[in-house]
Amino acid sequence: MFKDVLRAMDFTLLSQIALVLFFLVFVAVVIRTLLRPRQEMDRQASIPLSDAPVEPRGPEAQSHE
Amino acid sequence: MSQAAIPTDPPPQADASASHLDSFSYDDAICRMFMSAMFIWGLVAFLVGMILAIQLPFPYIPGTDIPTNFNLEWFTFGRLRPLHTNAAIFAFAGNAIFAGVYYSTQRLCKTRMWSDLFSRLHFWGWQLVIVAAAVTLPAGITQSKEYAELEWPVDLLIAVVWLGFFGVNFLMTLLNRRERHMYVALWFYIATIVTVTVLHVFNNLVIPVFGPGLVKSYPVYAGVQDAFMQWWYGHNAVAFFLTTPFLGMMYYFLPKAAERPVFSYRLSIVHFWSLVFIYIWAGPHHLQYTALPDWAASLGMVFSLMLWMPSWGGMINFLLTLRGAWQKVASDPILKFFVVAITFYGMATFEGPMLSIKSVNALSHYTDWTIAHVHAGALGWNGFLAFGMMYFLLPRLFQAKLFSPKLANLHFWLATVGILLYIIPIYVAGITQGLMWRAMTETGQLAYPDFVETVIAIKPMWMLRILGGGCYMAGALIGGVNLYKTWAARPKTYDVPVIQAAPLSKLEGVPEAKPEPTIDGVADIAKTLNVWATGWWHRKWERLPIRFTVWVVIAVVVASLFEIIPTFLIRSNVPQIESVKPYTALELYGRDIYVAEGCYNCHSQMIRPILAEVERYGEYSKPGEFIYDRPFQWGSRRIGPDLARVGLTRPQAFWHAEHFEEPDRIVPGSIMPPYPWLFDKEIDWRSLEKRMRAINLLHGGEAYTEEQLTNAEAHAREQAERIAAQIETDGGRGGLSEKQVVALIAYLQRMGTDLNAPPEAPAEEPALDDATASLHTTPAEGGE
Ligand code: HEC
Repeated sequence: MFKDVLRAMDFTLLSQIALVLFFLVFVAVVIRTLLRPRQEMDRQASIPLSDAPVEPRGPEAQSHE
Repeated sequence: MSQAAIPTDPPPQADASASHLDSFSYDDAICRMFMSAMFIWGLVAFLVGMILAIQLPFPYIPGTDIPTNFNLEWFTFGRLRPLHTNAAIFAFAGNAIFAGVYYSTQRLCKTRMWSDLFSRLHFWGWQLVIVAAAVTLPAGITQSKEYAELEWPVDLLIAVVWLGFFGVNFLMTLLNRRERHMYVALWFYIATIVTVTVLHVFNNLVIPVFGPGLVKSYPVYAGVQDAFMQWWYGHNAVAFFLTTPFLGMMYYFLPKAAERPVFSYRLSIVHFWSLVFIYIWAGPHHLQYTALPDWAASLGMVFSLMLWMPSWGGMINFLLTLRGAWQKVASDPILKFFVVAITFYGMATFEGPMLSIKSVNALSHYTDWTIAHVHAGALGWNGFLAFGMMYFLLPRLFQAKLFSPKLANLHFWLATVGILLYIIPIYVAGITQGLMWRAMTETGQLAYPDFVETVIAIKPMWMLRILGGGCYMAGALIGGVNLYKTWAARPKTYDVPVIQAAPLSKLEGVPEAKPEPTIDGVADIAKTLNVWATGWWHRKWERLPIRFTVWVVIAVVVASLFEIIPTFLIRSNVPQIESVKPYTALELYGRDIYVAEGCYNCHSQMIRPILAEVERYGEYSKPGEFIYDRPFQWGSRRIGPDLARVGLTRPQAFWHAEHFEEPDRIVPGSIMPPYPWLFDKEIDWRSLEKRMRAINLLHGGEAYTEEQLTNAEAHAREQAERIAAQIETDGGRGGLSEKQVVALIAYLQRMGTDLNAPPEAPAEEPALDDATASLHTTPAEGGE
C-alpha cells in the first residue's frame, strides 16, 4: 500500500524541490560562515592547540581575544 | 619537537575565579589499545594483499604444478580478496579512526570519554567483529556485496558496537564537554557515526535462511535494485568511512603537529557542510538512473564540480596550514606523512569525479584503473594519515622518546616508493587492458578475441605490484620496530596528568540571545537577515550536539531517501521479460556456491551496450534479466571474462568440469585458480527447500509453486544426474551427481539464456545432447 502511495506521487517533482532546498541551505550556510567575525574564528581554530581548557570559555569568550 | 623529545602538555590552567572546579584526566589507555590494534590489523591486511598480489600472476608456484591456493578452499583468491578489503577498511582504517577519535575528542571537549566501560566494550566488540570476519569470509560465508560481505549475525554485532557503544559514548562525551564550541573535527565525527549507521542498516536488509551449519541470507532487494542499493552504499561508505573521519583527524592532528591553527577555519566549515549537503547527492552516476529531468541531472553535475572545489579547498587549507613551517616538514616524519596524505587526498578527490564521467568510465570500469585509484586513496590518504598519526601518538601515549626518527624516515620513504611502484604499473595495466578489450580490427572484429591474451599482457605489471606492495609492507614493519621499541621504553606507570576545570554548565550563565539588528531604516526582512547573519542561532545550535546531530541525520536521511526511493520504484520500472523465470533448485544452489566462492571478485555479469563488449560477450544485459538475482552479481573487476551469457557461449558441462579442475590446462595462460574441492564437497540437498522458501517469501509467493518447493530435492537430483551423466559421456569424471561442481555448472549453463528462451515450450522434445535445452523447461515441468 505504502508503495502504491509512493508510486502515485510525482516523485521527480519532490526530488527537484529537495535538491533545490539542499542547494539553498548550503549556500546560506556558506554565506553565514563567511560573515562570522574573525576573532571568533581564530579562537575556535586554536581549540586543538591546548589540551587543557583555555579560559574564559563562557559566552564572553567570543568578544575577548 | 615531536620525535626529538617527550612532548609535555602545557600545564593545566589555574582558574582563579572559579570555586567549583572539578578534576579529570584523559583516557589514553583506550587510545593505546586502538592504535596497537590498528597496527596489527594493518599488517594482516597488507599480508593478505600480498598473497593476492602473488596469486594473480602466479596461479601455480613457477616450475611446479602446485597451485598457489594449495588446493585449499579458504586460501583461494575469491575468498581471500574480501578478507583483504574488509581488513584494510574496517580493521586497519577502522581502528585508526577510533584511535584518532578517542584521542582528539577528549582533548577537543576537554573531558574524559563518557564511559570507560563503553570504550572497552567498543574496543573488544570491534575486535570481535574483525575476528568474526577473519573466520567467516575465508569459510565462504558472505553476502557478496563489496565491503558489506559480512553475514547477518556479524552485521547485527556491528550495529550494536558502532551505534550502541561507540555512538552513545561519543555523543555523551560531547554532552559533557568543557569547551563550548565544538571544533570542526567533531562535526566530521558526528557525520561519520550517523551516516555509517544509515548506510549499514539499509544495505544489509536480508532474509536469513536457517538450517544446520547454515549462515546464509538473501537480500530483500533483487537485481538492479540490489545493485543500486549496494553502490549507494559503496559510494557513501568511501565518503563517510574513509574520508570524513580522516578529514576530522587531519583537522586535529595537522595543527597539533605543526603547532599552529588551521589556515582558514571558515574554509574548514564550508568543507564540512559541502560534504554533508552535497556529497550524498553528488554522484551524477546516481542521478543518471533516477528519472530526473535534464536540468536536475545538470545540477547534479554542478554539485559534483562544487564538491571538487571544497575538496581541493580542503587540501589547500591543509597545505597552507604549513606555510612558514616547511623547514619543519623536511625534518619531521609526522608532517611528511601528513603532506603526502594530503596530496593523495587531492589526487583521489580529483580522480573520483573524473571516473564518473561516462566516456572515462566506459574505459576504466572493470579494469585495474579502479584498483589503482582505490590504492592511491587507501595507501596514500588513509595509510599515510594513520602512520603519521601513529608517529605523533607514540611518544605521547607511551610517554617515551620515539625510538628512532631515522627509522621513521625510512618507513616514510619505503612507503612512498611502495605506493608509486604499486599504482603506476596498475594504472598502466588498467588502461592497457581497457584498450585491448575495445580494440577492433579494420574489418570490425575484436583485435584480441581471446580474453586470456589481455591477461597475459598485464602480468608483468602485476609482478611489479608485488614489489610495490612489498616496499609498503616493509615500511610498515619498520614502523612496527619503532612502535615496539618505543613501547618497551615506556615508564613503569604512566603519568596521568589531572586537569582541573569548571564544568561548562557552571559557566553557562548567559544563554545565547537573539541580538538586536544593527541596521535601521530598512525593510523588516533586511533586519531579520541582519540578525540572522550574526550567526547567533548557529552558535546556540552547535552548543547542542544533540540538535546538531539531529540535523545531520535529517540531511543525510533525506538526501538518501531521495536516492533510495526511486530505486524501489525501479522495480515497477524494470520492464518485465516474459521468458525470465526463477532458478531451479539446483541452479539456485549453484548460484549460492558462486556467491560463496567469490567468483564475482574476478567475473562480472553485466554486458554493457558497447560495441566491443557485445561483440565479445553477446547481447547486452537487460534490467529485466536480473529480477531473481539475490544478491546481484554484476561484479566490479573483470580479472576473468564477463559471464552474463556464458550459458550460451559455453553450454557444455564437460568443459566447465575440466576447467574447474585445472583452468590452465584447458585455457593455457589462464590465471583462474583450480577448484578441486568442488569435486569433493557434497550438495546439501536438505537446504534446497529452505533456500527456495526464502526466495519465494521475497517474491510474494510467486516464484515457486508448492509442488516445486516440497519436491525441490527430487527435481534437483534429477537435474544433477543429467549433468553428471553428460560430463561422463563426454569423457570426464564419473560419479559427480552428488557433488557441488554439478550445481555450479547448472547455474553457469542457465546464465543469460532466459532472454531469448522459447516461451513455455511444451516439454515434448526429447533431451538432446545439449543439456541446456531440457534444463530450461525444468521449472515449468514443476507445474508453473
Ligand atoms: C582469480 C580470478 C578468478 C576467479 C576467482 C575465478 N575465475 Fe573464472 N576465469 C578467470 C580467468 C582469468 C578466466 C579466463 C581464462 C580461462 O578461461 O581460464 C576465467 C574463465 C572462466 C570461465 C570461462 C569463461 C569463458 O567465457 O571462457 C568460467 C565459466 C569461469 N571462469 C567461471 C568461474 C567460476 C564459476 C568461478 C568461481 C567458482 C571463477 N570462475 C573464479 C579468473 C577467475
